Amino acid sequence: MELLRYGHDAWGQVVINGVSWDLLGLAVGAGAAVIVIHAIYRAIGKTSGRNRGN
Amino acid sequence: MATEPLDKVQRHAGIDRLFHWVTAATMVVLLATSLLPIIGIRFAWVDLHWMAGVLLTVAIVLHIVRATFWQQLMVIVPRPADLAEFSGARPGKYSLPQKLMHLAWALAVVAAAVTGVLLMIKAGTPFFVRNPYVFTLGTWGYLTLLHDLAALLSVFLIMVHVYFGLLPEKRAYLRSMAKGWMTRAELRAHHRDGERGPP
Repeated sequence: MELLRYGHDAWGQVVINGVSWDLLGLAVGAGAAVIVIHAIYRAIGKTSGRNRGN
Repeated sequence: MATEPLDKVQRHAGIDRLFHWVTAATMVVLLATSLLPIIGIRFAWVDLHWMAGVLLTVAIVLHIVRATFWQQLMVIVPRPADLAEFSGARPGKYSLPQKLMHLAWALAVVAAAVTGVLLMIKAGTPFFVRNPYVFTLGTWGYLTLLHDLAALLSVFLIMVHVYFGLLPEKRAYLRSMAKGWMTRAELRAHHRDGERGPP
């Protein structure tokens, strides 16, 4: 996976053009991971809370 | 602290709610216009993108001025004392996670706005005569890099922010950002009463 996008200037030297858009999937994946992990943590907390109540 | 009928406590003034939703709408437009073409949905995105960017930048400047001179700026700044929340202490107006979310948004939005305004010089808009020679190609590259990183951070933050905002136990916060108020019981359940800061 590339981290950056590259191009060339008028002298043929490599210059950075920006972030590689491969990282878009990483950003979406990180967001989804936080959501899933929190949802699991929340579900476990609710289950153990109900069990304590019984 | 002004108490309204039905035991409502104002949490966010109308102008602050307007700022929040203008920011939300412009961020959605900015991310859609910049990222949809990348995933293959092609359309004339540039004009819509810079116009939304200008609106967001104006909103940010007004928000910073209001927060600095008309509100208690430190109410939203994370402090070491906030760590007491891990041992059960109730926060003031904003909890540590809310402060960290605001800090992350501030970093992303300010970085995007500052680099975006400079990139408008390269793109050419009614505000700037197009001049791609103001900076070297390398400098434009680094500005674009920062702009892109702010966009990626914003994608992550939108997902997390919307998720937490829609959780049933956070519904009072969502309502307060829509209608401005929480009930006193909701306030006392999660915050130190009397330390919510100005609305």
